Amino acid sequence: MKGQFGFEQIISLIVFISFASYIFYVVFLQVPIYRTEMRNEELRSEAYQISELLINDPGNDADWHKPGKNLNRLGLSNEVENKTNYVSMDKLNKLNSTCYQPNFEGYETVKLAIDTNHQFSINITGKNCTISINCRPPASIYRSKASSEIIKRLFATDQGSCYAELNLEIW
Amino acid sequence: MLEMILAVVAIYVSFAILFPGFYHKSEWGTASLIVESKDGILTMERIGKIYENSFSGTSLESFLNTSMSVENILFWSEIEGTMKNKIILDCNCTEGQLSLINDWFDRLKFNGRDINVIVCYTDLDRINPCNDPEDLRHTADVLLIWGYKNTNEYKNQLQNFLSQGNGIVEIMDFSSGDQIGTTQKEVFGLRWVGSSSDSKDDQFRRKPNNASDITYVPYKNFYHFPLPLKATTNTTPDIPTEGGLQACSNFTEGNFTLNKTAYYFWICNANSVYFDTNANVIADTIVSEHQNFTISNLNFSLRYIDEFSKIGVSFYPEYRFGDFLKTGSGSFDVEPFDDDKEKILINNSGGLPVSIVNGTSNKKVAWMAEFSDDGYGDDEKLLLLSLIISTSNKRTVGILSPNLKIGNSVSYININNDDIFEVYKFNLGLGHPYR
Repeated sequence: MKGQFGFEQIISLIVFISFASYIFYVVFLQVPIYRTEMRNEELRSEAYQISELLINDPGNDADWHKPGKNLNRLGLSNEVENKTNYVSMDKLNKLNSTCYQPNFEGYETVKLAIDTNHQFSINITGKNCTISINCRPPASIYRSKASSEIIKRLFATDQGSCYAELNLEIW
Repeated sequence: MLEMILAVVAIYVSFAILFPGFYHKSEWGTASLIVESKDGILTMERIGKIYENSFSGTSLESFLNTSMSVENILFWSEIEGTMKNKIILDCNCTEGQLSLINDWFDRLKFNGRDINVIVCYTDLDRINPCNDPEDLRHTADVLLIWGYKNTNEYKNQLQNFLSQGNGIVEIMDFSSGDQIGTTQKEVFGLRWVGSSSDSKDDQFRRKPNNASDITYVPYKNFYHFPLPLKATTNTTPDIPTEGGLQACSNFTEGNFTLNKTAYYFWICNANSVYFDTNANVIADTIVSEHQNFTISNLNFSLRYIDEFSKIGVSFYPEYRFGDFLKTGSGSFDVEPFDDDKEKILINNSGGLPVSIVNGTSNKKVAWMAEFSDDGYGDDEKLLLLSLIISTSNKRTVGILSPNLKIGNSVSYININNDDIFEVYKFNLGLGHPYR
């Protein structure tokens, strides 16, 4: 009786192969989606954190925009009023001039002050006033990854009734 | 062979059911809308637009259309816990009384916003004949019963009306104890105590102890709500002045009746008001917007000047009314049913109640004595107004797109203290269509 397969053994083998191939099929199909979603969630989380830092934190030094002060952490909140969603126009102007330093040195300075490993672009546009800031990396690394996340935040400034929108894209 | 194929298919189908694949449902869309709502509210607050945008759908929509760059977003908003922009007043009264109410409370204004009192007649067996055509869920906020009525048979209707968060004010004199039936006892909290003694001067019985005191809201409204005083075309070429006041030829005029005495005023060039404070029909004081002034040792503040058409005057403590109780024959005397003297809002110098408030935070009723003897003074109108707005329904009312509540909302508690200290909840909702 050596070398003979019973009918039950054949069925068991088929069931096992089917189950194993189903598992492989599911795993190979889903893992890339899962990884993409995980990355997107991480990007969203980081984008939100950075936007909170920009709008609701005065930065370090708190008056980093003044001469002789250091930019250790970027934050745009008015350090005197210390209110949420209330940004200093002087800090916005300083950020603008920093970003436009030659050879994208400014972008690197901002990146260090934000302390992120991701690439990003900061776009601030006045809704009822003339503010326009576009802080982005060199074209060679701009959009180097397929997926990115954008967060939009509305905030007021300390200049009259001027308010603006922050578009932070991260990838 | 066929059986094997069928078995494999069955196995795959059962695996797909028993071991479903990875499914990731992100809530980022919801979180993003909430963050946008919160940012929108805080930005409005920081630029000083939150109060205006809370109560004006047009202003809010304009702000949101400018500020929200995300496409396909629907907005809605509502307010809660304060006087509504439209107060629907159902009045069980005569045509003449309806006309008076319409005239007195036309175009009210406080804290920089307009209040529109919509008055309509109602029977007591069917309250709520009117609603707001722009928000059909908004029905009567307050019921006014003016003149004696035997309300016993309407107790259920009145209690049902109150249970919806509405209020009731009655202006009524009683000539005998028989007129104080179960409704007066159980709803308005009144009881008959006998005939009254004659006396003069009515005033608030006491200053409220705190904000939860039952007399706090009507007291606060009486002493801060700007009473509108209308002005008409001038009858003289110049404002008659004394005490060296500068003449003014571009003006309208009106009068301010306190304790049955008329004090004239003139709105000069739509930016200052000349007052006659000694009732000789000659101006002796110039008052600017937000400036305090006194007439007969009573304190007032000019809160606004509305071009040449009207002014808003707030009363400040302590004000004394001329007695408006009927005395002598047909006199009456009522007291709080539960003997709680704290519910007496105003009494006369003899301790006799002139106005009594009753109820809970959601069911407010007020009684005041008939004040139509010898005409209607502006002080009496203000007392009635303060009772009406104090008892009116403060439940949630839609401001922007009230019939379109989708998505998620963020609440914000805001305050304003321009004329009256006002605390309310503002809800801003954002949502995507078809989600």
